[in-house]
Amino acid sequence: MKYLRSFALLALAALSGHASTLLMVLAPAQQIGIPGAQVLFQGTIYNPTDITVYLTSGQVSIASPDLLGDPTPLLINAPLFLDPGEDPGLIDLFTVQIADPFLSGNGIYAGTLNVLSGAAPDGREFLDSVDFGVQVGTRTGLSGPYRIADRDWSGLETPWCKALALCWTPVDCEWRLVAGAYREVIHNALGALLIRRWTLPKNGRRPLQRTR
Amino acid sequence: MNATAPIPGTMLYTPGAGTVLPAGAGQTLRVDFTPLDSANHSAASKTVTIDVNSAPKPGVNLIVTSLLRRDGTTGEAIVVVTVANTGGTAAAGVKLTSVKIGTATGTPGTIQLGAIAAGGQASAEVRIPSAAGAPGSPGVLTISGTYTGGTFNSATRVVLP
Repeated sequence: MKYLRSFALLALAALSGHASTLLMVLAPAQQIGIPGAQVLFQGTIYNPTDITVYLTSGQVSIASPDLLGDPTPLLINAPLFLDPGEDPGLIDLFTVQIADPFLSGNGIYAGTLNVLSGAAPDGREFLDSVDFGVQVGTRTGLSGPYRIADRDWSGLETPWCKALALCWTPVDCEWRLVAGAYREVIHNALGALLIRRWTLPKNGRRPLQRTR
Repeated sequence: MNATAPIPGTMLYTPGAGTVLPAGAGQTLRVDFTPLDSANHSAASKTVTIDVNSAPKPGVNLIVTSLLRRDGTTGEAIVVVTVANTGGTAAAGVKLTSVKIGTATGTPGTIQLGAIAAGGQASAEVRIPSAAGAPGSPGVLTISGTYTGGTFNSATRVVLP
């Protein structure tokens, strides 16, 4: 008669630390700004698990003393929790304020968005992170009026440029500024005719806030 | 995986022995044991799962967690703030510059935490006026800080103790 003799498995221990739970994607993950500007990062958060995950904390850590992250948009725009398989769509996640003067020097600065979540409303046992970058430039050498750049660079991004990820070179950055300057001139000339257009949400599909 | 058996036989691993797994949770490891003496022993298998985390990346990544309780005498909310460095580089000169619940600001306003090694953490206690809200009311705890070469900011949904 055959019989099974037990055998032992020495399983590898999982690495310590928090497990990743959510899938987060920034769109785009790198933004361009100038001193005094505030850049907005949007993205999606997807819950691929089979449990409800409560989003309890958003955090931004960034490698420049002249850049100040603000994760408040995440708490405002994301639902209190994500059901299994839920994706609230493209939402505002956080902003980065660029100090003026910006003493760190032109360049790309790396940062991380951290989201703490849990299986309970006050849970924070899960940690998910996604990296981002802020490219800081200056106004030097720009032609035309550039007040528009002081307000919101993200409005200058053309869809094709964004889709092809061509926006992140200095040359393209300047091109966008010049294009934005001309758009500003047109905007000022047409005045009230365009006001309504400019006050629409940028992507036209800002999600409704949910209260649960 | 390194399976053993009290009798001679062959272990077949899936994925193969020596495989370096990518980062990810819930990955399956399987071993199939075939005894040499198959006349008297049965084959057996075992499956386990493993979570593989990414190695810390170079740089500083500061993550803030907090515990709240209420001072029964003064009514103040006491926030124990812990700053953990999950990056691969030590953070020097870490300090908390602001701890708030809503618009109620905690004291002391600035707290020096010093250096936090990669994988390390440091904690401090902040007291927030009772005006932050009644026990059981929801709020947003915002914590800001700096370190040499960077900043960190957090916003957390909390229920006041």
